[in-house]
Amino acid sequence: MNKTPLNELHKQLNAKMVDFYGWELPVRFTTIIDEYFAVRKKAGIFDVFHMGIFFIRGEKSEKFLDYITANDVGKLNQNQVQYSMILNNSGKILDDILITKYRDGFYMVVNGINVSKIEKWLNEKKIELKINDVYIENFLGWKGIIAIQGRFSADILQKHVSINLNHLRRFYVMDSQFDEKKVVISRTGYTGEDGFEIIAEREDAVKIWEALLKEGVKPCGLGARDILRLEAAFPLYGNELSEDVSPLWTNVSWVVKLNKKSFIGREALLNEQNEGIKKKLIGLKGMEKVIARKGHKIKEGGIITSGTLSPFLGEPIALAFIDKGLTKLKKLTVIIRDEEHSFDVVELPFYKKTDNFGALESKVKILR
Amino acid sequence: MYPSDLKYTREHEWARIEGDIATVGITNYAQEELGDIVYVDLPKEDVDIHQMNEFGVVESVKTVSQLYAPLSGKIIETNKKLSENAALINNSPYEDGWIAKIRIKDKSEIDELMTADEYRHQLEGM
Repeated sequence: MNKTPLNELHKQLNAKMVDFYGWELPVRFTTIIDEYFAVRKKAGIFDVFHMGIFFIRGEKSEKFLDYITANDVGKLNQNQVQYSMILNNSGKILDDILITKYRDGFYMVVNGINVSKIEKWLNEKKIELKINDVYIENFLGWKGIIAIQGRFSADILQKHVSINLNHLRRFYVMDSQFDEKKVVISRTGYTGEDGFEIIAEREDAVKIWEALLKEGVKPCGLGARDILRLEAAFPLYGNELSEDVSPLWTNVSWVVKLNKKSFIGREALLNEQNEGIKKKLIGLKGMEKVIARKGHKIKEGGIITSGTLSPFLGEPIALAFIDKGLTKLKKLTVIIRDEEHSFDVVELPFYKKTDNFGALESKVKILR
Repeated sequence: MYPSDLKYTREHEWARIEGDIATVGITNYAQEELGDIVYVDLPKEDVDIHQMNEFGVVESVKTVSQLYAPLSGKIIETNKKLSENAALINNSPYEDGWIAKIRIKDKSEIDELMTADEYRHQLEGM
């Protein structure tokens, strides 16, 4: 199994480790709900060294990436980050990614489960398009990411970095030092809070992680990460996004810039738009305590892609694909273990930044 | 962690046997593995259940876990407090976090269950 440079440290902290698509990663260090509240109220750190990073450079790199991805790479300023997708010829999603215009090329951060698929795809397309002046470098095993997320993450991170974080805008990166280690700091994240992703050398990971732990930042696992991103309605590859899904069905369809002259998947998506988009990703909120989970069917027509108990709302939440004809319905029926449960259709995201930290908080406090 | 007056199943349920009534719940190991428990699908009262058949569901934030009946019998009471506060199972797996009471049908089935020592031995082997 693949291990991040922080693997031993996690085990020393007694983290519960799981096999996440071939990576041994912490699902929780303490409890998922405690870690969740740490991020919503203060800050938490995440080991995301399983994410893939490519660096793509060369004179034709911008042209190449603009053709490979659905968003408009030409719009990027120097050091700016863009959320985008790589589509196949049928307009379905191979991966959702972040692209950063950096130095003489572009950083591309891809999902851990898709690293080899995307590397193969990029190299195939390079050959097909007969573009020579594009160089693709895979940083796997060499560089990785540690994320610090939460409303106080800037205050905490500032103590260790050479740059002034006030000058780092959302969706931008800056070169910096972290306690003398060279890093790139990106003001991005996957939690619905302010936060940063620190791109570091593998050999520096332990020092950075330990320095942040010493600041009292709570280490958080995949469990908390999943609830945080779900409340913020960020889709997850493997759940909402896959090679069976069109970006036009999702709540992030804005990444697709159909007015761009050409990119892989464009024609299929134009056809789809003309013929009528068949499905839609929606948010559901439970009226009981029972949780609708990935794979549960919607009686009226549809399927749950992710579900959990929202600590913020104190109620079950879920994302689901429904047939387009059902979008007017205010309630839907989810079949959970052969029983019908009614859910309200609600607007996304489930969570917006607030000082009212959540319905479950008082309960958790009383209990612990 | 594993009281010696209880009997245990391979699937991490416990049973406290008093006369012909068994109070059942899940073990400390089970609640730790599950993490924050947020929902319990309680069995219906007056329903007959069979040893090692599924009789309910415990959900944590991350996963769903089936409950297996330690003994055959009739459900005579369920812990309604869990509907409001399923985390009682995390905080007090053997007392406040009990799940159901069963009127035991066949006491010879008790021999199929493990003692605390046997259960601990199973956990060590995992």
